[in-house]
Amino acid sequence: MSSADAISRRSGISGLTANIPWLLVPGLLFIFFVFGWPLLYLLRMSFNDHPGATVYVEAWTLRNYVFVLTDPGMLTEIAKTVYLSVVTAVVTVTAAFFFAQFVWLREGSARLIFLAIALGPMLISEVSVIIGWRMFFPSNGLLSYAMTSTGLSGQKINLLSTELAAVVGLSYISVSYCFFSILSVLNGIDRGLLTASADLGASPVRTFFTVLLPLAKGGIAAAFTQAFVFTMGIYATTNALGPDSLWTVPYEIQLQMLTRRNWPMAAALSIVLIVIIAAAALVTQWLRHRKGSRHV
Amino acid sequence: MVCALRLERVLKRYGSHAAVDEIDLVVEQGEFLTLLGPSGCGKTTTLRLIGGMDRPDGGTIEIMGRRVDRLPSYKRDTATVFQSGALFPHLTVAENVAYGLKMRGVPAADIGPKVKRILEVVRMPGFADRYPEAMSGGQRQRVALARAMVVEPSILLFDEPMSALDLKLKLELRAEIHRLHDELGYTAVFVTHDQSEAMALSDRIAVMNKGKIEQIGSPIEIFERPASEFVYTFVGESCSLELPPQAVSDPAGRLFIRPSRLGLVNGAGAENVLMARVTSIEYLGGVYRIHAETDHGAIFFDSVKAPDVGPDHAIKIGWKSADATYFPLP
Repeated sequence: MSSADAISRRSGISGLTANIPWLLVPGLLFIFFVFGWPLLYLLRMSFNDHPGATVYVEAWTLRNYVFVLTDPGMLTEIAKTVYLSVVTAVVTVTAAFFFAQFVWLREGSARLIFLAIALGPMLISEVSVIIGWRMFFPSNGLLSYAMTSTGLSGQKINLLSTELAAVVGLSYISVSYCFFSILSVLNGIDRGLLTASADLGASPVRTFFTVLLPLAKGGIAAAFTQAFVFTMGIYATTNALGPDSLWTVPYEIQLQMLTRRNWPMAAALSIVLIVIIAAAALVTQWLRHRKGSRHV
Repeated sequence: MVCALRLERVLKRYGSHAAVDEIDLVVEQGEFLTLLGPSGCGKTTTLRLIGGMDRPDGGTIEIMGRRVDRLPSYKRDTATVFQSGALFPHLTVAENVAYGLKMRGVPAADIGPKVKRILEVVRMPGFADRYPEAMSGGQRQRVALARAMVVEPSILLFDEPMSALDLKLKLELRAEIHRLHDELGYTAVFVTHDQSEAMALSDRIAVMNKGKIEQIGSPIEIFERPASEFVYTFVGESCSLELPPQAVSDPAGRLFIRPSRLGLVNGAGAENVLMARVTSIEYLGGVYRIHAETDHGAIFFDSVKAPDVGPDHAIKIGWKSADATYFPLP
């Protein structure tokens, strides 16, 4: 047998094994059963009917979608959810960016301390976060006490059950994730570029807008998507810290699911929510890669 | 004429260690001055103090007669060619070069022609629309040079701009910087640890050691008339011989001499002759380097001819008195 034969036989065998990604099978099975199957079930459920007494009746109807996308109450909820998520994402990304930038410019042990602080919110469950902020915002809470005792405010103030409290609580939940995705992008930027920019005559503000921000664009977009997606899916925090009038889609889903016992409607709302999130992620991806982006 | 740069008793401390220890320095307009020294001697810190990337702890810095030591980097009329180039990766070559002009408020209509002209000057005219990542290290440094030169700063600062390049590119860029200085006559402060770079480029060299300037002078002065042992040994090759005290008024010291001024002697043809024993001979390509041991220490010198002696042979080494420099022991 010639050596050429041996080579072709060998590459034939390795080509065969390479074409069948056996090692992916367990992962794919896991994804299918844990994510794919429930999603398909949800999709199927959203076309079922809900005549009244029972949770659902098998059917093929678009009634639920038509209701979700035409009912003024539902549309208001969708708009409010998107609005709340955008505001929260902007607040979160801004806070995360400046903290990440601050940590990025530090060295050594100071940096480790700030990293530990940034990890904090990640280690606290949503329930604890809610209880914490509920002790902070009300008129007999920490904020009010601090304001009156330092003389900054003449009377007790109550910020619980306001949109501000909801945004703060929601930001707190996603801020760590945003912080780390922005920091990882900043870590890829040569700090010497800031020096070079100043050296060429750019003030710190101009350096920020012409060098740092464009280079960190990818991380900011990723963080924005993250905060937006998180906020779109949360209902407990919104409900516990926000005003009673703040009815969001996740809140409506649990209402339809648990109180109204209308599973098809809850499923249709969930699908709409998923579509909005997917669309938002696609738009940020597109904005990121649209032009001149040198960083991934 | 006002001098381009004046440093007076400039001090920079890191903790208790003085990185720059009260140095004085004057650079004339159009002069090419090099700060030469080993790593950690304070040359880069001095450059950063001039450029405003660091604040001094004492002393004054004047650029074109204006005191600048309290001004931030972006308010000083300097531009730097960094070791890494520090080109903005999200901007094209043309945008990189235009950056400083834009930040200094040059009218938009003037920027295009200036960028085009400077890219021709550094021989990179076809690269305007490229991004830095699509270029070699040498090309990037040319763009960095263009980016700094185009703003026509009072002083152009170079922070070891060639140390990341291979030898061929280094020599090319060195020739380029030399040519541009001859043509444009800019004032430059150039930091390097490479003495051949310093020799080839500079009008004057300031040799730095431990935060101080040991000697400042033309390349010839630095090489031919070094002011201290440190300068003698740091610049160029040297041999030294330990000398015992000759007299009460003449303390112990060392005699320094360049290996190129040493030679084998047969008869009594030299002013000074010393007996030595050959320890080894190396062939360096073109020349033979002979290492030898004397009663006053080890020395070496080169010979173009193949030496007719081998290890352990006794030889006589000779030199002219004018070629040797004596420094008393500190």
